[in-house]
Amino acid sequence: MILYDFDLERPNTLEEASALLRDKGADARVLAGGTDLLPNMRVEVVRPATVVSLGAITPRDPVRETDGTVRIDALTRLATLEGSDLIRAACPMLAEAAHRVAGNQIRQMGTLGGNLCQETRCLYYNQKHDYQFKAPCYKRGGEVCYPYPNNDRDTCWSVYMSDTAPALIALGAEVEIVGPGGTRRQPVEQLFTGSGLTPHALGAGEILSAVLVPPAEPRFGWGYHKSSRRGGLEFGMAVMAVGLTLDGDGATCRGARMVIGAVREKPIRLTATEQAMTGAKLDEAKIAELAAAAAKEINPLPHHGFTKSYIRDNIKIHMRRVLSEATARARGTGTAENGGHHD
Amino acid sequence: MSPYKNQVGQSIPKVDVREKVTGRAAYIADLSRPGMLHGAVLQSPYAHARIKGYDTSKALAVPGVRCVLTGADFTEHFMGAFIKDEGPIAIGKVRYVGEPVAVVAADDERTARRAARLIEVEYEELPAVLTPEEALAPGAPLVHEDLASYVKVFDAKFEGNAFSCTDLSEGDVDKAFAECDVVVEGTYETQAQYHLSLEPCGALAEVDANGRVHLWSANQSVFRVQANVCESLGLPMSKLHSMTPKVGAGFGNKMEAHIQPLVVALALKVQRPVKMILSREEDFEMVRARHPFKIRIRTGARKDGTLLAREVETLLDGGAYADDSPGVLGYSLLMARGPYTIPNTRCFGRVVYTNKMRFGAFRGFGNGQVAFAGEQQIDEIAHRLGIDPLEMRLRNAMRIEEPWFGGQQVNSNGLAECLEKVREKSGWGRRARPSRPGVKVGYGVAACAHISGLLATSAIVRMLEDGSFVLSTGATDIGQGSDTVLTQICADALKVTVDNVVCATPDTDGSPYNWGTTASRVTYTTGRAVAGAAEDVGRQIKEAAAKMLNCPVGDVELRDGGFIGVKGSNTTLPYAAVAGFTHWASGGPIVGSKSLIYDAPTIDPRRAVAIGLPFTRIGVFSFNALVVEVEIDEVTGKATVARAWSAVDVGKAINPRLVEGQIEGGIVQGLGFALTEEMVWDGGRLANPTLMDYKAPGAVDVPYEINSIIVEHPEPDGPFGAKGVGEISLVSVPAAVANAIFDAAGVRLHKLPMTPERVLTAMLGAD
Ligand SMILES: Cc1cc2nc3c(=O)[nH]c(=O)nc-3n(C[C@H](O)[C@H](O)[C@H](O)COP(=O)(O)OP(=O)(O)OC[C@H]3O[C@@H](n4cnc5c(N)ncnc54)[C@H](O)[C@@H]3O)c2cc1C
Ligand code: SF4
Repeated sequence: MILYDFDLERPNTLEEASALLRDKGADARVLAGGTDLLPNMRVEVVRPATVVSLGAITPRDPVRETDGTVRIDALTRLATLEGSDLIRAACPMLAEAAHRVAGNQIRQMGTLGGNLCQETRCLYYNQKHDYQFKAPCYKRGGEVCYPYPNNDRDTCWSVYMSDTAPALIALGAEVEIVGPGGTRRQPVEQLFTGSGLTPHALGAGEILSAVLVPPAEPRFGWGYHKSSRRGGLEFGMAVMAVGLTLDGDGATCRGARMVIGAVREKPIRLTATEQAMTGAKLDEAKIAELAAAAAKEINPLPHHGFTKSYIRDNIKIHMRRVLSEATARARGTGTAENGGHHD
Repeated sequence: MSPYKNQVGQSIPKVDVREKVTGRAAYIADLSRPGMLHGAVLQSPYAHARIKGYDTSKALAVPGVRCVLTGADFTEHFMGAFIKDEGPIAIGKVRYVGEPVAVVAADDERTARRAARLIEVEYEELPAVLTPEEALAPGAPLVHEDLASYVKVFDAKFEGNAFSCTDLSEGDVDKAFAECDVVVEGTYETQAQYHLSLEPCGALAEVDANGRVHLWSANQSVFRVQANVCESLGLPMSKLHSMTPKVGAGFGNKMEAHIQPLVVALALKVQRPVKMILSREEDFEMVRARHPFKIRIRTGARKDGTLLAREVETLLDGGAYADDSPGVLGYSLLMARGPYTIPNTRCFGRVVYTNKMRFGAFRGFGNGQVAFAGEQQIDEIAHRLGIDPLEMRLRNAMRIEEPWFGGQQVNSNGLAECLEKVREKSGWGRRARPSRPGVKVGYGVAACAHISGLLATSAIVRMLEDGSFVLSTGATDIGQGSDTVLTQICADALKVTVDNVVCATPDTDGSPYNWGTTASRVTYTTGRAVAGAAEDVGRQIKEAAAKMLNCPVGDVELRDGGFIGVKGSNTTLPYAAVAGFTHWASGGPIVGSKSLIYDAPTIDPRRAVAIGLPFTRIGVFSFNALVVEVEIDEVTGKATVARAWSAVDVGKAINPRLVEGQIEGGIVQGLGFALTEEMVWDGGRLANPTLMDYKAPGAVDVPYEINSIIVEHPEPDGPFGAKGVGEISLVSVPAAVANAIFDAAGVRLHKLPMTPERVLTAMLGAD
């Protein structure tokens, strides 16, 4: 139950929504599927005085534009994504990532934009009701950080847990943002500040309008894995996404994007490991070496009861599987839905 | 018309199935009364603090707030199943984070919850004891300074924060250990588990014009609710009418009081109906949970595998109030020998107060914890001696005529058959290990016994004017299907079909006494009462019919389908005719009843010594053997149970489908206990009181194959031979999984839950 009072607005277009957001300032939030915002309002991690519902705006189905880019409205439901023939053919990693979110009921409500703009999470003091009898932590405007008492007030190590963001970054996707100054595009990566306090780099009145996934290059392959304790209805302990392309020899890596989610305040690109990969022949030994390098490069925050070393070990193990899958798909020896480079 | 079939032994659908699948069944949250207010609670932020004062003015100033009660509004009346140490709300001091310190009634829930946050309480923080070790340390702060003066219903041994100490022994343990060829010793630790009834606790109370209170609540016993509310508020029992809506499961959490006393206090104060439903977090933080155990255990055997001696010492975290703890301690010690012939056994245990929420009854009642330790040791000995672990259990299984630890007579014992059945059905020892790269597969077995019984119960069967029947027992059906089973017993005893019997909803005004739906007892104890009451009715039907037919009573008999027949002839009378005769002509309406209490002694003083044991009459024994197939991911350490075979000796399956439901449910809840579930405290506060962060298994996390095997060794005085099945299938799960992990990976886990981290750490350590 949300205990405090707030106003509700229901604009008919994103532009109207943006204007409302700007007028109301920092005290307003947009509501898409509400599966993240409403629970957070309940525990008062956020307390928007005005909720700007996007419920009156109907998203268009994902489309392929003439240059091959796939355009997905931010309001597209996750369930639509996982079931879309276009998405499954053109960017199957995104379909897989969307499928890994929560459970079916939540995917029926939750949107892609909401998934990207979700709050960071921390087991201490912002996931449950005891804000009622505990002084607020930094993230809620208070004077303390409970799990990391030595942190200063500008540091919050809450974790960003979107399952789709790592996939989108590994696919080189962009977001389209509607704001007071019109529309702009930027890589998904740049949506994040890296601060747990204010994880998203959106200006006043800015709303995600779409996600744009570029066409896959020849010999592109992907791998994705979400580690979690249970099989469903579960946030990640670590999420791994890799997109890579191979040279004509079918073995040498021409370029790669390697992203880890759910371990830090934002999804982390492992640029050193990506560089080490580029130009390397991806055989089994190399893959094992790269997975180890990835685990070393990442510096996960211990979170939700998982220790840093356990998360690292897990990444080392699963990154190997993820890289093997990506390589196999790039070679065309993977599973049927291999990377969409044929179309 | 199809011929009449016996009603017992059939998988009849639950009598309330339509109501439930159509969503029309009303649970506590669905109920409403005219003019009803809503309650909310303010919880303590401190684990241990003195309450110096309250300021309720801001809360009372909120429009729509009708009443605020704090500890200052209650006089000291105490409740408690074993030790009367608990008031309805914190009075004078708080003893755990989350404890209710004030309650509000308002026009709607939101107003009530908002107002609760505006109540100001002045505290003086006190040093807290958060673990049993801290609580036992010399000079530790006392959680209850007045323990010595509390009323206790048994001869409790207590000292400092230890509020119950129990000692049980049989044989000469020291001498026996000296004769053992192999002795294994170890310490084990189990965690707190949340009951996780899908329905959180709640209650609704209304005071009528005569000042009498009518109370509906999520419960496992309308009578325990009545007793607890009246004790903690100082009300005469005749003033309180306790009822039940449908209950969304209870695993021990709804047996003793939760928030009923507070809701009644609010309703009495405002003289309007008040309803309060806990949020999930509140339900996590202020109801009760499974006791964390620390267990030191030693078991010894001869070279040929004959078990000779066992010694067990347990230390239980009891939390802030005694609740059912003395019972859990005593029962766990009685079970700690396991279902084996071990002639020399000594058990000692203590349960101590800490500044955490109370721990109490939970499906298994301490048995799962000691089985986790004891059943691993049976395996260890088997491995040391090169004996197959299942064979080892068969060799040492209690023989049919043998008494239980302490000396109680056991009158039916299907343990050996359970072990043989799981051996056969699981292909034990013959099964090829499905090998996949990166996966280790192992099989584990565990066995246990569990009681069904305890205390008083009664039943009334009334014949209606048309010859159909109303059955009243006072036993709450908590979703497990006891209304169905009791209806089957009644119908079968009267030779009618179940649609001729209706099972009345429990209600302290209208139902005869029933201690509760707990201790796996309803089918066995209440079933006995129902069979007895039905028999009483049958006798009266025969008497009336004999009068009608003008023949000796000995010549008439009950016939299938609801008829009276004259022996040796085709003359029959329908029950309707007898009912009409008794209602309108002679004899008066037929009412049959039966009251009983389970009274076979647990301890035979010629065999055993028991000190500080809270119950002396526990119940009859069901038996279980379980085999699980576990897969371990070699690289992550994640253990998954792929298949399970569980055989339970239930005496007689009154309704086989419902028995299977209990076996499956127990296994799933046991798997949560074994592998993933754990309440974690961060200082004094519960860190994970949500279903997101408390890892109960979901549908995809449970085995795709659970084979429930019903074994029937009839209990001589059970209804149709039946005994209980509610808890037993959970008890052996952690041990069987641990034994399978050993089989797969060669490591022994001594701590629950067996998370991937712990399994992996153990495997890395073993390499
Ligand atoms: C039980 C449960 C399990 C979950 N499991 C997962 C999981 O496994 N993985 C996972 O990634 N998430 C999970 N979630 C979080 C959440 O449900 C999903 O991320 C979902 O996709 C959020 O989308 P939504 O449309 O419901 O967002 P909303 O709740 O509507 O919005 C979330 C945030 O994004 C902002 N926002 C929404 N749309 C836009 C937009 N177009 N432009 C700018 N800002 C916007 C909102 O203001 C709000 O701050 C879970 C949630 C629950 C309750
Ligand atoms: S890590 Fe962030 S969210 Fe968590 S307690 Fe610290 S400041 Fe608050």
